[in-house]
Amino acid sequence: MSLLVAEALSHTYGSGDLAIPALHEIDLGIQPGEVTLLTGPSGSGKTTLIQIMGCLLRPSAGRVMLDGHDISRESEKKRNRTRRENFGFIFQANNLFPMLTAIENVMVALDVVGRETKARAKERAAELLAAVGLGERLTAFPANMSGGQRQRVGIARALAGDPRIILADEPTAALDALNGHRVVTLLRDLAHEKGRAVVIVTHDPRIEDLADRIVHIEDGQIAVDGRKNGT
Amino acid sequence: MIALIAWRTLTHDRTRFAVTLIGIVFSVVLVGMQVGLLLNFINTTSIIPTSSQADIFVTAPGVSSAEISTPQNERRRYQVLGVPGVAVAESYIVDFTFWKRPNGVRESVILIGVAPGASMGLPWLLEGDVDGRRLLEFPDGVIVDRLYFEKLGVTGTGEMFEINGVRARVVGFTKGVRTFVQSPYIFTSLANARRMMGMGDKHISYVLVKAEPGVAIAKLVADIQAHIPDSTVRTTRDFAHGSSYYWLFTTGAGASLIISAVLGILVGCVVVTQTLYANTIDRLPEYATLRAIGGGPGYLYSIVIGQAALAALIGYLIGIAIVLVLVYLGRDASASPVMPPWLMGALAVNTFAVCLIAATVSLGRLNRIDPAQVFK
Ligand SMILES: Nc1ncnc2c1ncn2[C@@H]1O[C@H](COP(=O)(O)OP(=O)(O)OP(=O)(O)O)[C@@H](O)[C@H]1O
Ligand SMILES: [Mg+2]
Repeated sequence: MSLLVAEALSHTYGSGDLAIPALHEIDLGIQPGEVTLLTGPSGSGKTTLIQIMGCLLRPSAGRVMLDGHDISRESEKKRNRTRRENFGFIFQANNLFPMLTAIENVMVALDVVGRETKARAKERAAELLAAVGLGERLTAFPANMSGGQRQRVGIARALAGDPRIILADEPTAALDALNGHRVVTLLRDLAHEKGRAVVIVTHDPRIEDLADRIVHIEDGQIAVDGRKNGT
Repeated sequence: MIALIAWRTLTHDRTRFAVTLIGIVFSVVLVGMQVGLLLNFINTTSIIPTSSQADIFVTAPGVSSAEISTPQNERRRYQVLGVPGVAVAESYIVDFTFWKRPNGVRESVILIGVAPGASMGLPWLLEGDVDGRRLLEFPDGVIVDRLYFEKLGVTGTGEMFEINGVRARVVGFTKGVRTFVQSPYIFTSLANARRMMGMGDKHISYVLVKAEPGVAIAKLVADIQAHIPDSTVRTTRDFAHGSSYYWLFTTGAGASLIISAVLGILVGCVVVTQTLYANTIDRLPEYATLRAIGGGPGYLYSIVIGQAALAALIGYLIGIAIVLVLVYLGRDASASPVMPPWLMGALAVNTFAVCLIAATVSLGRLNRIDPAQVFK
């Protein structure tokens, strides 16, 4: 059973002579408990697709179904809430507040999603950081951490709202092979052990081994959709 | 959490934070001093009516400032006494004249003549445990203020000077009776004043009126006015306002004080706007991230408003401390600003308002944040 479903999703940036078609009638279901890789050449529409599925961008046509609702047509306020309650985002530039420590950055996310009481937030943030292997670096500032560590703080932050769906855009692009592998392993564990749906946009062939499913996009359309164990 | 982000964002860039504080402090000090001076100016330009304890002033027509009188005949006083509801009516003289120091240098002064037995318009802020009425009984006797010892060449009682060529003897002091025109107030008796000014013995400047208990002042003003149409009758309050207004707006002093205060507000506003905006632009990706993970626009607004409030608070505290030190240091100057608690409160409100207004530009920018940009 798919958790998040794109139905005949199309998107065009701009209009008239300046219109740039980005997606064309995409149908895609995202399953919980597995890691889906989105691959494809630059400009093929991968980022646009996860922006729309993650409730950050409204499609020109088509629907995005979550729990039987079309979340792409809801009000801004509702979409805000949908993101807060269902999605975790991880991006290449991790956008951590430079003047906040690792644990404070995670606590901000907990504050935003409002899941924890103030007293519990610190404890919970420490747990989240420990789970990504940063239990020893709670009070480090981003400037004093490695790229891989910063990216893992970003993952801990994305998990603050205990999201069912994790969307990551090029999470390993700025990392070396070892750190990249580590980050993706973390995401895979979240899918396999916690049943989260994980979608990773990537150009990185090194992480294909860790995926359960690879969706290849070209010119805004799905060219190949393959599972490891051939379902 | 919002307070923490606001505080760290505000102080992250030390130089920028320092510049912000300097801007706010400058603004608080400038506005505080200018408004304090303005207030002092308003107080001192109306000091004759406000210190008189009279209910009503009867002046010659066209008199707009208490210092610049037009002579009237003392007959006025008897006319006023004939109006029902008047309890006391007393003659009063206020006029510019010259004081000659022993070395021959002349200084302009304002001579105030009041009858020794008067109940209104007596010298205020008398120094020591003395009876002002007794001091006024001395022939030649004058009372000067300590603030102007140097200017008038006075060192103690008993010293002789000339006022308008007539002998005058210093018999007592007031302490803190400030003037705003650099012409000190000199108190003396009605008779002395007439003699020193070379005026006839029927000459007066004003009739000060006290109403009978329970009489409505406004009604009494109208009654006296109707009884003496060729004079101007005002409540003490109206005369005080009129005096202040006259000096504020005919001399340009008020305009320049007000312009400086407005300038102070503008400087504060511009500096804070710049800082908050720069701080906002620097953190746009982080703010977009907060929006992406589901934070509402209100969450981001609070961070910027928090910064504005913190900057206002710190800037105000430093600024008001400097203002109070300056007010203390200038307490004996002839134009010393006054800083009553209500004005300190008003300055605080003004500072917060300026910082919040400065935040609006940043709020507008936050409003245009597109959370989708986190994936760029
Ligand atoms: N905000 C935008 N305005 C206009 N056109 C855009 C915008 N964002 C993307 N596009 C265009 O839409 C198409 C798809 O872009 P998208 O970013 O989704 O591709 P991508 O597969 O993520 O590429 P890359 O691998 O380089 O990140 C491209 O032609 C791109 O130029
Ligand atoms: Mg992309």
